[in-house]
Amino acid sequence: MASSPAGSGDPIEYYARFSDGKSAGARDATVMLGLSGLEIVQASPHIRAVWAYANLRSGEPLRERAVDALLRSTEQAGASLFVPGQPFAAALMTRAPHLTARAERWRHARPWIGLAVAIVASGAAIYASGWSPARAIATGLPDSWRQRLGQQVITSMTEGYKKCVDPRGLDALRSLNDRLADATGTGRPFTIVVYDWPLTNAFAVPGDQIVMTQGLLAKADSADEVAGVLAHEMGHGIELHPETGIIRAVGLAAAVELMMGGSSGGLANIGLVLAQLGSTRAAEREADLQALRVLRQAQISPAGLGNFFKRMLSQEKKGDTPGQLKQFDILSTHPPTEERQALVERQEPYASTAALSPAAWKALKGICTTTVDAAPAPSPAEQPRQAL
Amino acid sequence: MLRPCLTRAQNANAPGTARRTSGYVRPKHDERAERLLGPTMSIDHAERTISGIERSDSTIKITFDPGTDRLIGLGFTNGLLQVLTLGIYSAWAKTEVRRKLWSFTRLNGEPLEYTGTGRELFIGFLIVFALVLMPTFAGGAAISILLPGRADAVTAYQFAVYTLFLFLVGNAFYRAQRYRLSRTQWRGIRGALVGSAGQYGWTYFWTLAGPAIFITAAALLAAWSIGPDVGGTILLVGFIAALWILPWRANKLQRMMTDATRFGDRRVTYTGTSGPLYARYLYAWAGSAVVILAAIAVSVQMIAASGAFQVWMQTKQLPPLEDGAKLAAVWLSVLVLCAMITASYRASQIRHFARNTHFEGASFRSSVAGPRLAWLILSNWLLRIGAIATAIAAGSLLIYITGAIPKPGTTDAARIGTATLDVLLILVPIVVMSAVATAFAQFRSTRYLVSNLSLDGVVDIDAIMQNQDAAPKRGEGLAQVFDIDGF
Ligand SMILES: [Zn+2]
Repeated sequence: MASSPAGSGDPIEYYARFSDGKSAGARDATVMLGLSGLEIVQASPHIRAVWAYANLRSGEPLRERAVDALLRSTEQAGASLFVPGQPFAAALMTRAPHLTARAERWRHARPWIGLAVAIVASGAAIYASGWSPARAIATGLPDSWRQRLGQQVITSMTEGYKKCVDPRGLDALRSLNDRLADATGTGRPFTIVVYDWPLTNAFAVPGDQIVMTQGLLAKADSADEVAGVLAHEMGHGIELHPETGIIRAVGLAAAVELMMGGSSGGLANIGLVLAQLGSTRAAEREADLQALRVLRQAQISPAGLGNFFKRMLSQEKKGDTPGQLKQFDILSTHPPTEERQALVERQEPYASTAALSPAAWKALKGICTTTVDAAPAPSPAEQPRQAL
Repeated sequence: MLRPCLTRAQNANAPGTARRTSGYVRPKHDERAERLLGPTMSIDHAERTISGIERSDSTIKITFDPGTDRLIGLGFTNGLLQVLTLGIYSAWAKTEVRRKLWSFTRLNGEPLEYTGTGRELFIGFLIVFALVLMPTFAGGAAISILLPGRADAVTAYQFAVYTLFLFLVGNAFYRAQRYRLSRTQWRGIRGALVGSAGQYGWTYFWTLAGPAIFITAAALLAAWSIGPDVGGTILLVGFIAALWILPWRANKLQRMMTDATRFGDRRVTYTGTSGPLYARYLYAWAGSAVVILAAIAVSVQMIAASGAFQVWMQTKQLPPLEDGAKLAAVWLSVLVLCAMITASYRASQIRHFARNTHFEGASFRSSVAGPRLAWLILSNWLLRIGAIATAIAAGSLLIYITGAIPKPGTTDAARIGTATLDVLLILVPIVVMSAVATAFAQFRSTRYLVSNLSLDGVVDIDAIMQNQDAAPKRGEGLAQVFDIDGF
């Protein structure tokens, strides 16, 4: 198009600088808003060109307050046209609406909004269906990995405490363990170790392993109570809660790192604590249901499970637990719920016998009269743990 | 070569004037153009200046011209999309910020253009994630699972990984710079970084690792042949003395990078030597040493006085929170003080680097000043801290308003729901606010550095031709992973 028909476009000529993209030099030019495109006239050498509006690209999108415009055209690769001043940019906005900030923003945002909606929707779907990716991965872990992971957790948790190995106590523990493990019906053997540790707690760790403290044995009134606690821990093990907890913690930390662009550090921990808080509670219910099933199968009364927690709670209210120990205590990780109590009470009665003979119970209580140093293996990283 | 002169007639409709087909009229009132171009303009004047800049195109004036934009809105959108896409968007967010900062930076009134894309950065990140991060993580996991309780194996592995990373950091710097330069253009002419990232990475590595190995070896030898006291002293004194390598090292690395920089087909050259850097380094070095030694003394005193160490040794009980907070406060002040003390050195280093960087016939000049730089660093920190504090407050308020606190007695499902909601209500404001603070902080830093930079001397701009080398295809992966790509 050599010349624009009179009266067709905007007849104002604007000052511009034209660069051909071959050298860094720029030539003075004038530009007019023609009917179908920009009409560019370079001063010297005298060259005319028309860039169709549809083929224009702009460095930064055009805005009402834009003070200049930097344009390219797909018709002339490499070349660019810089037009200073607000009037040209404003006038161009009406002729090339695809260069405006609004159009640009929408074009840019569309795929991301789609992706965000998809992520939120699939998150909601996973949540609603109750499917847990961490649980699915945990189920796929080879047994030998779970064992080693468990060993790792135990060594880092019990660092500095001695293992209780009194032979008669071990015998009693083994008979209780056998009776419960047989009743799980999974055919998986459980490993239970007692540590000479004054705090009252028991943990299920990966690989069907359970750590129990001397403090818990001391606080328990009967073998039935210990059996209840152990059955509950086996319930965690059967449901793969410890494995799932670790995988979830790692996954969540990775997700937060990603979201923060790899520079969060401490922030990951806030998420971890809150997420673990939420998930353990659902896990407790599952573990309780498993425990009740195991106890029934083993013909041990379920009352011990309920009573133990009830008593622990009333003791705490009286202030028996030393302050420093409270934060690692069984109740802090595991608030006693009316739900558990109701669950125990709803159980249809069945014939039961004591979990251990009085002599065996006495032997179990004395398991820490002989102790050995646990394998030295401090790991600096604190392992996520599945508390009772 | 000078730009061809305009004819008289063409000059008449040059800046500040516009022509209707029926005659000459001024365009509708444009205050900004008027300020830049002048309300009336003689032909001679118009010949020489455009946008207040030498129009003869033989000099380059660097300006930073953001208008009213402070990247606050962009930071907000970026943060929000980052949350909603689980972080995938961050590569695109970074690109959007760069595009803005580049377009604010002007040479002779015409903006720089950033032509990189989020997709390039993302693919670069994925590759490094698969080739470096995943294997490293998997190796660590394998060692702790296969050799349970072998702390020495874990330590050895960590040492190996840190060494590898230190080796890769310089490499990453170089690659990031190469990517950014190749995606930077002015008037369609690209920048480039030639040379080898491996060589730069190696220099970056040995100038740190070399002295460290030498001093450690000397200390071990002394400890073995004379006594552990002598060895320990050699180690401590040696490492403090070894800090004197830093200005020399910085200068050497700057030379490698600058000499390999191109704009179009033209070289950028560096003529700096490290000598002039040492006078100011003395103050920074001595000042930091005094502050750190004092802080060590105070910390030892505090720990001894509280008895926390004995308690920990015997019972593995962590010290009470307030003791930890006091200690953290001491070291936070050390961090701030050292940043302030070293700021004047850093400013002088920036000026030194600029002064010794030449392009064609011109040399750069920076007027960055120590106190201003110190304030910039400090205020950017405060900005980030303030943003996160605000976010936590806002999140807590949201939790309070929505009542999303897990209550005992409710069903488990409801509890999980509220706990998840809690995480979101805190995390989302934190991510969004840090994105806002980061974008604004980058804006402030860039504004300060660019508006204090100038290029003195004559440059034959017309003679600069496009650079024909192929640009790298992918983004800066490594640097993103190490979080050292800056912008
Ligand atoms: Zn439990």
